[in-house]
Amino acid sequence: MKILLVGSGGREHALAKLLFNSALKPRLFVLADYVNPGLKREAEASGGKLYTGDTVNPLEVARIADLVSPDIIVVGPEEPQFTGVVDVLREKGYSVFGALSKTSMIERSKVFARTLMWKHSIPGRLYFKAFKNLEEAYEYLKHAGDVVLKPARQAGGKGVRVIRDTRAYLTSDKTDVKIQAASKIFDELSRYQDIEYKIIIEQRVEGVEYTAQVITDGSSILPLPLVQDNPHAFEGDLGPETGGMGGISGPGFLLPFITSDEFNTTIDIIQKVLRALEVEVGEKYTGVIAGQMMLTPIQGPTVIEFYSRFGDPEIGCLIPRIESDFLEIIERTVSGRLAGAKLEVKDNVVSIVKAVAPVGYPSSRKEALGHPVSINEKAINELGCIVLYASVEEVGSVLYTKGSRVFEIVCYGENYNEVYKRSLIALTHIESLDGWPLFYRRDIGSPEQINERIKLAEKARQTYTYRASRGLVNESIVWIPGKGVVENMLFSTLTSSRGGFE
Amino acid sequence: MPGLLSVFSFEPGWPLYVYAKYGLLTLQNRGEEKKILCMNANSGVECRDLYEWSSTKNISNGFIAGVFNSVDLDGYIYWNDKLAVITDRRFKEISELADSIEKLISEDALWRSIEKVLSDFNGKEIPSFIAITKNGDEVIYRSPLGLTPLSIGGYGFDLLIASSESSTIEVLDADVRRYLKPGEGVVVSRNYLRFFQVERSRIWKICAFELLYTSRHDSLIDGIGVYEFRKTLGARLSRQLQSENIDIVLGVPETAIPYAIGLAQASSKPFEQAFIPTPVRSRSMLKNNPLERLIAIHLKLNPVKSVLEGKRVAVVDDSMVTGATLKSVSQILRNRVGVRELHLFIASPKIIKECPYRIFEFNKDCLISANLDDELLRKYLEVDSVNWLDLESLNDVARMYNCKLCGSCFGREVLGVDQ
Repeated sequence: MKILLVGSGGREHALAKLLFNSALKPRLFVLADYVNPGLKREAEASGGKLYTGDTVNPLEVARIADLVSPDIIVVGPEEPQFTGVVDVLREKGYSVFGALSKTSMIERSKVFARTLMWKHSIPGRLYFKAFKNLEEAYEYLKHAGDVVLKPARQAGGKGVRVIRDTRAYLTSDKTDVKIQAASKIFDELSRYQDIEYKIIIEQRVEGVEYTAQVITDGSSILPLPLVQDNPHAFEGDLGPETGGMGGISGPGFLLPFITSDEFNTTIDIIQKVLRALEVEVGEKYTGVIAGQMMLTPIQGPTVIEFYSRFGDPEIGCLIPRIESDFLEIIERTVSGRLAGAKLEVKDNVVSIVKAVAPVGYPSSRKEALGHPVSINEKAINELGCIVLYASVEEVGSVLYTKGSRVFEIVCYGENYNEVYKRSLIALTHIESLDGWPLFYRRDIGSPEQINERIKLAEKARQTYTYRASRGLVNESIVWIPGKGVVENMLFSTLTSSRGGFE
Repeated sequence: MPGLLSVFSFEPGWPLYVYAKYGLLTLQNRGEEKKILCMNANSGVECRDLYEWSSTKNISNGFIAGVFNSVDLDGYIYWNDKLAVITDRRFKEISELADSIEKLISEDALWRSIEKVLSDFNGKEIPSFIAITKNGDEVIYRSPLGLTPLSIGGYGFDLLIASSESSTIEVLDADVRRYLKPGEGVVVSRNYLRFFQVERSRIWKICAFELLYTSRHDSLIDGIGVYEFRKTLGARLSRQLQSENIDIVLGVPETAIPYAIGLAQASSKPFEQAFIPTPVRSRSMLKNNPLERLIAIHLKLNPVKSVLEGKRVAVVDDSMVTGATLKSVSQILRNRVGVRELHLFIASPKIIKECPYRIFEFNKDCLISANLDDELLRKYLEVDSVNWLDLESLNDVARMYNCKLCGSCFGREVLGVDQ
């Protein structure tokens, strides 16, 4: 069987490993934007090949597909989906795992995703308001209160600003911060022509984040085990937002701080979204959808955003945990035979993934670019850990950083404490060759961090179960002296933009 | 016992002056005589009185600041246009420390090798400090001796906040992320943040007065709830109370209330709020001028006569340094109200030595328990009894909370250990 994998980074390397490890003995071909040494090696070891080319250009991807003539094509990242790579490949008759341009709207446009949830009354939705022009956003922000500002289009997991505004004495000054943040988001999104709304302003929630990934052939779904990702660049959940600095998974399908009820509610939300999506765009969803979730005091499992692809580094965390033949699942997905498929997971294995990035990521990627690095993969493998090559390019025999996360190290074992200790040793086998520092988050997967998350989840659980029992899910009753009771006063300024889809 | 505060923002445009203003307000329990704010102005780093910054246009991505109980800031602050350093104990070598950090900046090695420089100062009992450079980079470091706390907080994807009080972080609408360990620090610049650990001293400990008096009731020190700790000491103190001799329990002044509640609950005696303060500008309370101090005390202590008259009263305080407050309390209760009996309960042992770390800058001749014997003390204060928390009890409670306290001023170097 021949597989063509489209994409260049750590996610695709994880997928290559999952696909390669199949009884179907696939030959793996890869189309990447640059020579990712990990992908190149997996491809060559399987008797395949790595091609380089423009992965977001549908015609170029189709040309390589015609050259390889694969049985299945897996499109890893979101940008090729947005530009219609999957559409073109399917028209040509290929079996493709990945969202169509229309269905990938669930990730590309946050306004589309939120509107869909409101229109179809799907639980876990947040109040929001979206703007096409800056002046209206400014006007609105003067009285917005406690909100999150996001680029309305997926922009590489960047640009989100959480402006907690719960102290009256700081509020007027925070308005200025919000207005500056909005202006920056408008600037950054001006380069995208495929989106109408530029900014989305949402009700701010807090709680514990987790990612639920679900594979679907358009009729049946197959949930993967939950993973927790860590978006802050630095230890202690400090610093700017990144694409994810690492995560944990297990035991079983859950995390130490998410119950099976919460898991089921989450999967139910995603299933409802898939159904609604099909109704709205008139296409079946073939591929994976990921819900970036948060367990909130306001309503329990709550949707922060969706991805129309596997999470990165989330999927890396699952490599050592999936028992089933992953390629067989992909094959059943693209041929519409997912019904009855079961995902076997190694219940007694937990995993921790940690990303290593050059200093400069994520705020000054130019500074993070072009630094030679080395990795002692043998030593890391001997520790029982897996190396994923991400934003790293092989030029001659030297590895150079590409500006984002360079490597992801996946360690696994029977308990977090032991795996955590081993992962720290594994990370010592990565070196910068020009003295430019690399960083990673020590705290991810530590017993202290996991305990902290358990406490936070318990706090959220206590409140959302109370609210649910009193019929207060996402409701807030306000009594104004002399006026009477006003329901949802707190959110009255943040109403859904029900003005239809773009 | 100065208070330290720093803010670093990863995104431009934050109203730093407002954060300094409210942040330092949360630290006024640590000093109000001087409030200093250091940040980058056009010509480089500048340290000025907080209020002098109010009209300055913000061009900085962060600041360091401190509150002090003294106008003499020698050894607390060092700054030039390239760098500012603020410590929370007077440090003779502060200029040497600043020079070493400045050298790192010139070699572009601040965040690579800060711990190497700091470990050289280890033998010199380096205090906790915060520093800011001309580039806006910051260093936050907790003394290897421990002694004073430092908490780190985060706000969204935007801010890092460090403070001597964990409650500062909450008041600034952020989340407490961690308590720096002794010898631990964090170096932060726009693109990089790194926690580091310099080898800590063999014995590190928390200044007992942090838990007894200095910290706010709503703070946590190294994860220990200050309010709970104080209530536990109050409950411990109740062992010395013969309950048939007492009608009501009072906490005087406000800082003593958790102790009084702990003692009242443990002895099943009613706690009464028997003094009502007339709001004063709290600055005057920290004045060194004795008359102004007395004015503040008198304004704070108007008695509710009806609950006190003819009663046998237990007055609880956290500590006795000069005895001035308790002398006033006694005069009010004896002369203006008329109580039947007056028993003092002090929730700490006698302070008999000067602080070797100069956290408290009292000289021995100002410490009442180092100068008056028990009999003379009772007569001076005109009370029926003075009951002190003994060293063993404080040792036990510290052990219960799994912390080591510095008790040098009580005559015991470490508390919270097996004797």
